[in-house]
Amino acid sequence: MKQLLLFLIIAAGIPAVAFAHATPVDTMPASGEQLDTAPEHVSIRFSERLESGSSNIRVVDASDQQITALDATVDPDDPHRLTVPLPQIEEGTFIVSWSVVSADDGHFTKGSYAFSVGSGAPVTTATELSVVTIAAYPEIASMFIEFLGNSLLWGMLVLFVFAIRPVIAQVREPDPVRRLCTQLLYAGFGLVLVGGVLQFFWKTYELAGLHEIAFLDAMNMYAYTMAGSATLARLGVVLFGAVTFTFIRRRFLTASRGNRYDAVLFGVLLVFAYLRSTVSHATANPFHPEFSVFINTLHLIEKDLWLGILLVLVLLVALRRSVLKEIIPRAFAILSVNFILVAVTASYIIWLHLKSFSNIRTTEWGTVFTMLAVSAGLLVGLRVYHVALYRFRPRLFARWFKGSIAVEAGCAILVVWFSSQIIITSPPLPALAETLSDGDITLTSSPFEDDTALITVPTGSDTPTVIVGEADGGLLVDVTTRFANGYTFPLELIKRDTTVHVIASQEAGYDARAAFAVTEDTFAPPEGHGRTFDLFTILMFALALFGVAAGVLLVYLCRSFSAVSLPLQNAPFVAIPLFLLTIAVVFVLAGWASVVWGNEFKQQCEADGNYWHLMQPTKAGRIVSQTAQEGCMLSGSQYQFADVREYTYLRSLGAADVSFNTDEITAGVPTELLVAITEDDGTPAVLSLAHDKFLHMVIVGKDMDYFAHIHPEDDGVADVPGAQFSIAHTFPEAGTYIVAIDYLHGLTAESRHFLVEVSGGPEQEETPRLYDSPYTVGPYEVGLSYSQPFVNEEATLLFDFTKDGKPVYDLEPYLAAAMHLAVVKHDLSEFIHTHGEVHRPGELQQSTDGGGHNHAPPPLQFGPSVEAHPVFPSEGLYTVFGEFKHEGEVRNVRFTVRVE
Amino acid sequence: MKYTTTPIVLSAVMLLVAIPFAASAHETQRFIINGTEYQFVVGSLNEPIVVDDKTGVDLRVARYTETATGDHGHGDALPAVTGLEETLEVELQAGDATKTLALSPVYNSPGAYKAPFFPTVATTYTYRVFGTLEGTPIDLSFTCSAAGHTEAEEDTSSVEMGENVTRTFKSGAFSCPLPKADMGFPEPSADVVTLSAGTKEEGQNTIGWVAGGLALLALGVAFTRRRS
Repeated sequence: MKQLLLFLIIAAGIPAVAFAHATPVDTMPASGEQLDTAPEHVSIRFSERLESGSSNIRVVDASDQQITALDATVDPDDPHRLTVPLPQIEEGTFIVSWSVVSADDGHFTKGSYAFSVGSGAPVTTATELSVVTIAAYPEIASMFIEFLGNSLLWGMLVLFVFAIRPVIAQVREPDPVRRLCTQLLYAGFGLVLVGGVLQFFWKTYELAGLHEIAFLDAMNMYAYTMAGSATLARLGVVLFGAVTFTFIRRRFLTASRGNRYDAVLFGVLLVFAYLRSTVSHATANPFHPEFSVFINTLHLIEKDLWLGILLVLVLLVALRRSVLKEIIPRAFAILSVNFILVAVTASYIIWLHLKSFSNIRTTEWGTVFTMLAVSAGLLVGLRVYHVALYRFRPRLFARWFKGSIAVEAGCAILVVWFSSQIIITSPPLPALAETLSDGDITLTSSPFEDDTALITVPTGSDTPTVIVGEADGGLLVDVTTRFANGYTFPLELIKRDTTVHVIASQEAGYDARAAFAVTEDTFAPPEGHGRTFDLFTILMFALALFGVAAGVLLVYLCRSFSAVSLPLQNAPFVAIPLFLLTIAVVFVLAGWASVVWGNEFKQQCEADGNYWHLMQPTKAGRIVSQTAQEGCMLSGSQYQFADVREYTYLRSLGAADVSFNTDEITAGVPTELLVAITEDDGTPAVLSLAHDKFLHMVIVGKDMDYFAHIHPEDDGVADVPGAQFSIAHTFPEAGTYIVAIDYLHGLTAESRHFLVEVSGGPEQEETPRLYDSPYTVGPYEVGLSYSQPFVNEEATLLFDFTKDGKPVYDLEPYLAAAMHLAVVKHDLSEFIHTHGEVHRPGELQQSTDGGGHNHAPPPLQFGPSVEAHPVFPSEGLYTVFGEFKHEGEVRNVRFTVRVE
Repeated sequence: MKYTTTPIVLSAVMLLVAIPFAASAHETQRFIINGTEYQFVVGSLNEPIVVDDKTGVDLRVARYTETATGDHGHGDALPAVTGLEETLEVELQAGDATKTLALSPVYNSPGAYKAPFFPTVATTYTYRVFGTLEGTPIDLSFTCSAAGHTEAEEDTSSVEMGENVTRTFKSGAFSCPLPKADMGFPEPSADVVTLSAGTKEEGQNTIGWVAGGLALLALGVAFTRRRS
């Protein structure tokens, strides 16, 4: 049932994520950068060209005060780069918020990141790259309406000129045919106008939201963008066409041969198709954009013509017009010629955007392409079926025609629908760096981490030995496990003429060895359009040639059609229901295919309760690649994995084994607490940073008085050698303590707790202390309010902060959280480590979970309220220890909570 | 005079610098075996070793005492354990291939043993020393390092290696055989295994051509006979 819902949602074209189009590829200052001196400007380079008047960068300081006085400008020499000057700024943390309009595809994107100036201003881990999500469905719908109208115009016009006009003298009732032609052409003009107007208003509405400006101002701004002006031009052209048709209608309909009126109407439609094609991803693709726009124009016409002719034929069937049998041979001949052209242009467009078959199952474009391919495949099959059946079994063809042509039209309308959806979906990125192979070992520049080399070794290999330089005596490189059989090391080590030796020992086999000769240019981004004559290109050529051959065969078969008598009894009651049924069935079939052959990574990510999101790959809140990519986002945007192999590897790790050892503990005497975390097989556990630390240790005394939240000294490093920690701690009093540890193992937050007995010194109090609200610590008074918590139900705790009687609005994040909360049951049998949440207006939907909780990093300043949602596992008395940070100092508060 | 002495001085300095590295191209492990501590120093003969060049297991065994002088990790000043060629053997392991060799004592080096062989593949080799040492069964393995004879971090933890055998110390490493191809001069050199594989492929090609020719001949004969 869940799968059924999933593919229905996908097939309906309501993407869970709308995909951005112009995304940052390089930022100055870099995200998370800590600068010694203040920069003079902020400059961001995007993946697509930008609209100058409607793209902007805004920089605010920690107190949300805007510091940019001028608007950002697009670099005249590099239309991808947007720059805004900064005034003289002091030390501090700054948030860069950008909102841009692509000059290539007309789509809107926005996002933000942080940098800091001065050593005393650490960068918050809060950083986001978001997209305008309202673009998806209305834009698809309005575009589809426009294409539907265009289909009717092309279909009716071509059929009338090349199929109906030559035989109209032989038709019994020519006037009703001419009347139908007039009505359909007006309907086409009307639909195109409605679709265009809807698009213009929707985009204006989005732009107003993007820049938070008035609707009329946004309309003016949008009109000056490439997309907006092209939409207005299309509206003007179509209006001109409709008015012109009104004046020349009689002469056009009664002419006996081709004339200048035909040329005017075809000219209008050609200009419309060109204007529609100029706003597309083809212009952002470095492979000869002008040629791609030309191909796009042809493909738009061919695709809409196919649907248009079928719609007219279905309508003639439904109306039981006798002209039908006269025009079918000509209509089929036109469709066969069209078939040849579609084969060529479709193959080119697939080659241009898909880039590799592997992208079908790894990108959103590929998912929509699957749906499009299913409907297009059925359409092609039905076209071949119709021509072949008419040629070889004309009676059978005539008997089934009223139904079968409706089925083909149903497939065609879905092709146009999915085309509308794929047009607004961002195509897959090209492969950026060359991959060197030697046997089963590969070496490349990681596409998921900047300045990082990635090695893959055969399955079953041990961690490889990597030597840069001479095999005997070269530099031995320390590699980091990134996924099963995938290892990374700094690319800087091999940005010179050298040899990289990789030796991976195998179980019960000889070592896998490789030697890669590299130069400083080996992993440089490719220049030019970056396309090569690879296998995918060859296969697309083959597809085009096969299509052309099939089309030529169809044209040949169309030359010897025999006259048939079409039985059209009950035609409306057959054609219309079959048309609608086909749409429904193929719609579901395409959606099912997109799930079965869809992006498994995305499906897995969402099944795990995470979010599929386009953003810069991030680890522990730190961006690891400046190139935004689709990937799985979790922990409130603290992590985003674009590499399915890494995500799969981390989620496959089972629960870690934890050993906790200490010598006999004496109160007042420093003691070493030893923690070793290992995988099932005894190897060191793969740990990730969680809230800036690899390990959090909380110690609470049985009297609920003593509280400590401590971390090992080796935090802040990329990896923990051996996942072993040694923490020195002095217990103040004798008695029982709970020692709890929290860590992020792979993708799973794990927690363990142990009880320790401390001897010597003064004893803790026998009875646990009770703490009421409000709790006073220094000049702060913190209130806790909540409704009665129940066992295994999510509670809501609301903390309110005042200082010297005034609300505190500038609380600061502590270890990437609004508050850290340790919840301990009075008998020391239960421990919960959770975090406070801050709800901000306009926060990312993806940052909140299904319960509306916000797991995103908190803003730089917040207050005076913080929420928390612990789940208490059993009834009894608990103490809630809460830590907060204000004016650089961390304090803790505590409250007693009874759970029933 | 100046020109004649400088190379000599430089050579002497280089030799002095090189000696510790060359000497350290072995792995040292100490074991308490049935109450007595022994030091095993294991490496390969003629390091660095190259595929198809003669090498061999280089094993030196001594009783270990911390009070012994001149201990540079090779047991040269430690009391040597002799006669082990009678009680110990060494098994070579590479991939899933194994071969057992007898140890022979090194002339004029008490406590030193060797077992020559020719490595034919550039891969990880393990020398498994097994048998009895002064009446106690031992089964110890020493694996070469793909990273070469880098100084490995000393491991002083106690590890149970078997009944009455506990490892107390481990340091150093010995390198695995290097590929022959890059070291050839004046032409690149191919190793014997690769050449052999090429010969086999050529042989298979020849067999394929012959079989194909015979098949065509048979087809032709069959066709002719049918027509007739």
